[in-house]
Amino acid sequence: MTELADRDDTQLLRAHVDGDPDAFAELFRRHRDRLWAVAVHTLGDREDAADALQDALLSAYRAAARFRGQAAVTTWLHRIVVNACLDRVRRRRARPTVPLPDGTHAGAHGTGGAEPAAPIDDHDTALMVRRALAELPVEQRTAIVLVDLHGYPVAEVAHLLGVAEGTVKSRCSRGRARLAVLLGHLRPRRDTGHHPPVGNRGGGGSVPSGSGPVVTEGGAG
Amino acid sequence: MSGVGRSGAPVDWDLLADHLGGALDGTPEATRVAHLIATDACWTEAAEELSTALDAVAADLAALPPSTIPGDVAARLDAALTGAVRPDAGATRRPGVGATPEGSAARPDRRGGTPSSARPPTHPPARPGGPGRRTRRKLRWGAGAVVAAGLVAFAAVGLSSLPAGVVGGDDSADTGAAAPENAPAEAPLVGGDSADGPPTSASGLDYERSTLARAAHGNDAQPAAPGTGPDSAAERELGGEENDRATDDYSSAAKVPAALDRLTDEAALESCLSAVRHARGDPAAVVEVVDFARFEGAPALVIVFTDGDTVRRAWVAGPDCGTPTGGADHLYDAELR
Repeated sequence: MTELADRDDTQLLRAHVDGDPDAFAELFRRHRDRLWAVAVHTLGDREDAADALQDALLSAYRAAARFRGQAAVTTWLHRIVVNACLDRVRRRRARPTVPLPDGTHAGAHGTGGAEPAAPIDDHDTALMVRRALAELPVEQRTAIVLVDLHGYPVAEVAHLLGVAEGTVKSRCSRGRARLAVLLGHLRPRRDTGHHPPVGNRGGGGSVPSGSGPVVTEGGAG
Repeated sequence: MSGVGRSGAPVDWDLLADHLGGALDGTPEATRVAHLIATDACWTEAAEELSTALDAVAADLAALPPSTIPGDVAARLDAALTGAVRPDAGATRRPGVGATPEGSAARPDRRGGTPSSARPPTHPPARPGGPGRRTRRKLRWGAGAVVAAGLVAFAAVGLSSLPAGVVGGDDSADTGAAAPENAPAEAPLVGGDSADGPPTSASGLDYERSTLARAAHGNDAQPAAPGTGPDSAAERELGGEENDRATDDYSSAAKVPAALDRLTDEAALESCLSAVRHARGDPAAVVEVVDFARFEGAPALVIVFTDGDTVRRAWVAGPDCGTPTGGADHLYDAELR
């Protein structure tokens, strides 16, 4: 075990592919807190996070031979975990949703489920922040979790998610702005009533049309 | 404040957020917004307010205690690993070979000849299909051009050098093309909800093996329409543009071959993409483009993804992709250069 603990991630993965029965568990042990944090903050639900992380781990365990070492092992693991989380959210979202009086749908961004379990001595703010995070559309949430909570550089997150750096920055900024409203740092604005209170809906605010493109009025000219 | 400043441009909170977050850097929008902030009292005030609020959020996020994995979850995962199937042998895989659901007993390798032999892994129960059984979440359409334009640069200069916001979605920083005069009346509603889901397009193209690279390198002759990225439908309530957006949405949707209609449901598409990752044996694959098009005349999804190591690949899937019997419905795949 001591020997395993001295090896770097790539060596551990290689040992695993070569048949070492303990190598992968060691690799997981090193990174499991961060991977767990990504899953639980992205999914906002402890059980879902555990399921997603298990799926991800088993996928990684089996696919280890495909890893060629051009990227960091942790990046590879994070991609797998993020994929597993987004996969769950996108499937979950298709479930019947409950329409709200203003035409929006609860659960549209798949935030159903209990909040992540907080430590008993957790400050109220932390719980509020986690709840607010769970209200964000999943792709903003994912960007914020990776950039703001885990400190990944924007470029790396862009690679992780397969989008442009500008997209990551935008998702982070808009997600933070949304959090600002949810956490009471910013007053929500309404114009002519087309926009429901922030946080109600993952699909674009205003409108009656549900899943279609957002239709606003008028707009200036 | 009503939001209508001296310049006449209603404060666009999403745009302000993008600006403050650096998402507009290097684009004409950045200059325009900076000018508005400097000269329009409403924008000035909004920017200050938003900036202060964003700092408060940053502090809140930074103050979150680090999460540690609960003991019971760790134990569960360790147990799962103990019983797990050994890694697939070999680094090169053909579709369908050794495609074994996680955690189940190993099956003999299959040849890649019958693509549908690749079985997707077990997932949380998907809702039964069929119209009316559930609310189907439809995809938002990204204009092929917007995605394509970004991907041209993407392919040329590498992953991390994309022009801000051009690809994959948030049109947010889509920039220069956005009509300033049509900036929405407020609502930090923001988050201008970025549409979730993978970047989809309907180019109307009929790909051949030799032209698959176009899916990644730009394949749409239409001019880049402002605000038509996959996220744009919800992103900005751009009054004047919503007609364009609606049109693009319809025109894009109209180009989707009928046989692929089932896959315009987000969950169905996700099942397909998951099946593709499984068929490739690559859970780290990140999807960048999904074009509802044709391949050699037949309706097909042309998917571009980077594998776990950065190699880009095109995968062509048929209409049954993601179904229990269809697996990844593999038609063709090839590495893209």
